[in-house]
Amino acid sequence: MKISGEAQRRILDAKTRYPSRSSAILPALHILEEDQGYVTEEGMAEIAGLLDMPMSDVGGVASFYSMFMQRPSGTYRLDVCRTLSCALLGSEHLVDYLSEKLGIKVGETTPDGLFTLRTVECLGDCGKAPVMMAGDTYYEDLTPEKLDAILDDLRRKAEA
Amino acid sequence: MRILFKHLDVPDIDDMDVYIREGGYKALEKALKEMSPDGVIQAVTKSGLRGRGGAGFPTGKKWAFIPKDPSLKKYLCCNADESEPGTFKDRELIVRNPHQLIEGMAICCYAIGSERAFIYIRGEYIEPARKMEQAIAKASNRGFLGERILGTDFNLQIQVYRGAGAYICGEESALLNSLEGIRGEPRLRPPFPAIKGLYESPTVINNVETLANVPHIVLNGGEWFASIGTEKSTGTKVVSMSGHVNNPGNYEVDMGTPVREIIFEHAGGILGGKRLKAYVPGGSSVPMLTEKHLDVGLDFESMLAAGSMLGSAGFMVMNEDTCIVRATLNMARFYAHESCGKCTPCREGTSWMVEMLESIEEGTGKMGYIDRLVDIANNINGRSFCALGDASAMPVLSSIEHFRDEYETHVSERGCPFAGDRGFALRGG
Amino acid sequence: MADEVNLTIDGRQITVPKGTLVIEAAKKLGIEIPIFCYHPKMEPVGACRQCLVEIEGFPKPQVSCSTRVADGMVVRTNTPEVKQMWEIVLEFLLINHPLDCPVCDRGGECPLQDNTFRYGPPDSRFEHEKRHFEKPVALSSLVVLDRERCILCFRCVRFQREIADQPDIQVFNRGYGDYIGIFPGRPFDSNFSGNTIELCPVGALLSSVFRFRARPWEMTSTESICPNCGVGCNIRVNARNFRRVVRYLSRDNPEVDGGWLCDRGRFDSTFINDPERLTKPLVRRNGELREATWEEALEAAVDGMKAAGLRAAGIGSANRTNEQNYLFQKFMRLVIGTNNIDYTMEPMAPGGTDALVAGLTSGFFSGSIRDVASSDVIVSFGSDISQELPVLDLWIKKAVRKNGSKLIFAYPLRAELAKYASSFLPYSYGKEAGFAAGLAAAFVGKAPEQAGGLSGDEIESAAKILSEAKIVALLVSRSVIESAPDGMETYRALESLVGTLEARGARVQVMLLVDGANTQGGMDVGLLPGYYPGYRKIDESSCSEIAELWGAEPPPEPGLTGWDVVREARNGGVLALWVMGQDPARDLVRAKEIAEALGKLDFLVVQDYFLTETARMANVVLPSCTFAETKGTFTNTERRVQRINQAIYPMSDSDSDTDIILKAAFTAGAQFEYGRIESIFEEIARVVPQYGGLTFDSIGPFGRQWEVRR
Repeated sequence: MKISGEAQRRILDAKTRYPSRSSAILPALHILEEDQGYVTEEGMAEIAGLLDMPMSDVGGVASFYSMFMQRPSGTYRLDVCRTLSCALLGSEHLVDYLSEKLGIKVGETTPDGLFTLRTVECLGDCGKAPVMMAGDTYYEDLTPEKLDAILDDLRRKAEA
Repeated sequence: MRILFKHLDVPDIDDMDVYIREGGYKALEKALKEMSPDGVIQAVTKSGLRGRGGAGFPTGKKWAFIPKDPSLKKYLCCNADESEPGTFKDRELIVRNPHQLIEGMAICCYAIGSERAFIYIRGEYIEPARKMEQAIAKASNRGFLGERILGTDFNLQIQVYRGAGAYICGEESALLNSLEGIRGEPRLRPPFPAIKGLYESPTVINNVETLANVPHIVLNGGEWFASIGTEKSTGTKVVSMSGHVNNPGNYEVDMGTPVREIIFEHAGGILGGKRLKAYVPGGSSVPMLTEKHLDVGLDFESMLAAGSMLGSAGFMVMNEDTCIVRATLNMARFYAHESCGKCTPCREGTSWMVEMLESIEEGTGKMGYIDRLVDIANNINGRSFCALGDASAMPVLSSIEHFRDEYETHVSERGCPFAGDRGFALRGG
Repeated sequence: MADEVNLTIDGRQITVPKGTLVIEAAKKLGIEIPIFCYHPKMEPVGACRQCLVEIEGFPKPQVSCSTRVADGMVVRTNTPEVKQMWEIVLEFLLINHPLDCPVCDRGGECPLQDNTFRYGPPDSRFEHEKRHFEKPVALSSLVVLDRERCILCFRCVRFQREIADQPDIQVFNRGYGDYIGIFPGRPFDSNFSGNTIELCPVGALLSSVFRFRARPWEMTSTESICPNCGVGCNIRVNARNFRRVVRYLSRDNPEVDGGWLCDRGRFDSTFINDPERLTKPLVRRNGELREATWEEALEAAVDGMKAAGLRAAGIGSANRTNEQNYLFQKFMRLVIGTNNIDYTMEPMAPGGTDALVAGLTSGFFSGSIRDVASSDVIVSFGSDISQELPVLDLWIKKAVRKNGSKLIFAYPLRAELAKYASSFLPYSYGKEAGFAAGLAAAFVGKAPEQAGGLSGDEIESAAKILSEAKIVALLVSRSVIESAPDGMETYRALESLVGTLEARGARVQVMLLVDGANTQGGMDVGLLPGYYPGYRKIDESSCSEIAELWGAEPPPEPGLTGWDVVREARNGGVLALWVMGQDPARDLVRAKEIAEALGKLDFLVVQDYFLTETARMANVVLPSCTFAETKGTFTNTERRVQRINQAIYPMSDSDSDTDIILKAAFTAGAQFEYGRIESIFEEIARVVPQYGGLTFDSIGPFGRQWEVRR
């Protein structure tokens, strides 16, 4: 899939915003993910062209960061923090709960393509543990009941 | 004393107008109009302010390293990567009071002769990044940033740069690589960033909290700041309290405040009225301490004397139910996941430690693994390329030092001796 | 002595230049420190941590590969603590390294094995599952990667970036999951990828050509020269049982190749043992080429050539040795009786060869490859160096990227080096002389409105760069002098440009670029129809001079060029041709014309390894040996005479070109007597003034340049 015109424009804009064009690589990859749902090979190749960078560098950078998905993922990534502060307050239970409820293992996507369940390292919101990130949003002080409501809410959003 | 959080009760202090009404940007004006760049550096030096990211390097000294040569471009990078487990203070400082940070950065740039600054913010902080960008736009419109700031010939552009999920990018040289569009691995030093940093130019890298202190120092003077806290650890520290405490959150306390007060007064004591088992005082990269260390003062020197470090002052508190092997395994996994892979000891050693900890926790470990863990940790510590390796050794070394018997029980009883959740339960569960 | 630093390593004092790395200082003392990621030709990275040492005053051990010496520094490598650190790093590296050494190409020449043998732990304490990757992965048709063996020293990635500037490979992923890779679907497409195999300190990067072919300890290693292009990179030919060449490795000649090889050279070793090689002489009988004895074949060859009388000709080769070419031309002149000798069948422009010879004999072309490294401006005229002389491309890239030298790249097409050029001048083919004259004129302030298909502005921008130059390396392709029109004018214009530059105080070194491994040597030793060996223009006095040297008189008139032969063959002016080591019927540009001309000949002898297109047309085919089966010298583009040595026995009944010529001469009743290859070289040194004083021994392992004083 080709990068959309709008995304291309934003990448080219990012290219001019830094003292060195290679600095635009992370902004470009973020834009690519927003545009295509994950950092597609075709998209990365296009970025290499737009930023005049070696493709291997784009691939090497993209694969270094855990936020960039290398494969298609669900509409919502449920990134549950597994690091100590969240774990001490039961995040492992929440992962199990989500896994059971959604019928998928960590790393998998629901058959309807709506949710991908992942565990991530510290999200930097330990005071509100356990925490999960989905989309741009942090969901805090989680309990199974809250998760139920969040999933319902996201499903509704996806339908809308 | 509250310095950084002094406006926290003021509604809408994140709004620039409110911030100005409360005295905001006065420090910038004072610096630009009444002080020389060197004067600012002197004030910061006199204040005794030390880096709040963890290393505690004197801020004034760091700024003074920047060459004065006006033909050289210089950069300021604000480190808002905040990825140290248990630390969430910068997030609050940004979200609750973004202009305080902008003002601090502007003063720093004036002092070091920089016209361009970046805020490297971790990729997951999407809302904080937006908030920061909005605040920068407002400040630019109002002439606190941009060309000819406050009518002087000082210009400054600040940009937010989002990371993408890599703990290592909080390491200052890895941060520079990441910002330059290279894989976020740490750089060889020398050259040091003050000489060759971002884009090969002299660069200061300061933590959010460090920079947020600057306006207050400029307004009230270095002596005032130095009078707060202890002799060598001046000012206040924002501590992030998490884990098994009743009132998790950020608290600003004077340097030197006893840990007991922080855990039992500010954070409301141990969750569920349980006993404290262990706490990590400075993010997971510092050695854990125990009940025996409750009267230690929260400052660089006292923490070091107690066998730990101040670090980022991200407290992770564990109650008596907590299986220490499991907690250590959790932290070890973190480092194995976040190791950048550049150097051998860290790349190979962190995952080896995970394997052994897993075996011990699952009941397949051997008694010899305990000493082997110590040996491996000691061989990563001090031998790896950057401090991530050293950090990975701390939870392992300190937990075995304080709780060796618990490790031994895991081995001899072929499994975790703790019942049920082993201290990893949902609240109230 | 401010530039020198005194330090102590293991109690021993040493003085080294400021900026020296601790590991290099230790090396000078003969103190060995194990390494993996460090490589002296690349920037240190300090990644593998193998080379940790103790340095007084540092709280932690330091990596000796990236720590620079300081005055009074006290370094220790011999303490139990250091030994323990070396041991643990090896233990770390081995926990995930498969112990498949018995089936690993690298086994026996593996730095990981060697360092483990010397410094490693007696066994591993690792009791868990090793890391797994899919393997092996083909990064390209030439390079295969075994990721499980990789120890992530990043030498390959760094080489492709720092040296080759072709960053096709990169580290992917992070931490424990780090691996070396290519962008999906984008193969490792570099002219120099093979160097990464040689740099790899384990058996992770493998050559698809060499893989599973031989164990290192059962190979012989013979010093030789790559026969692929005019750079003449020094190589080691690895062979098994003195029969089978399995690979070439680099052999660092700091003045020629800097230790690197291009892929075209490195991987071109399979032709030597190709089953298609000719093993028996062939003679055409009843219209078909049939196997014959050497006696039959040589007799037929000599008779056929002699029958043509004066209408015979010979073509030598730009990839045969000096000894082979020298004997060939001597045989043609004295035995066959013709000066119709050339090294090519390419058409030359009138006067082109004379211009070339003028440049070579006057000392105008006396530059060296190393001049590229020491000049502030490099001018390259007429060659796509990256393709024609690949390793020279590395010298230029290094000069531009590391030393900040400026490149003026004059070539009709946007070739790879154009992107390194401060001034890229795509003049029009055929207008070389106009371009050169324009540049010379622009330099003295008389810029033409346009020249050679370029605008005055373009020419002037180059002239401006030159005007600021202090040291210039001017690289001139043979083709712009010899085969492009008006070569003499081009040459005169360049002479004038250089003269002006020198008058203004610049130092200028001009190097002729020739593409064949022995184009230069072929011309030196007499593969030119208008010149006797040593660029003696054919005339009465040179004829008697040669006659004295040879004890027999060569034909006194200049001969036909290779292209003349093509033309004359069509109208009966040439009846017989002897081709040694060339396949003109497959010429890239004029195959059809040439093949047609060859078809008209009465008689054709071909001396080669394979039944080439040309050989298929021949009356007699003589199977000859490759460079690996013989001994001799090549002369490269910087006039460096370098030795090749015999690495394997000749294949079956094939014979070296020198022996074939000697036998042919004997068959013809001539008295050519040489005890050894060295004797032929001794004669060359007597006959060719440029080689005067050189002996086979004095050339040494890294060759000797012949110089003409200007």
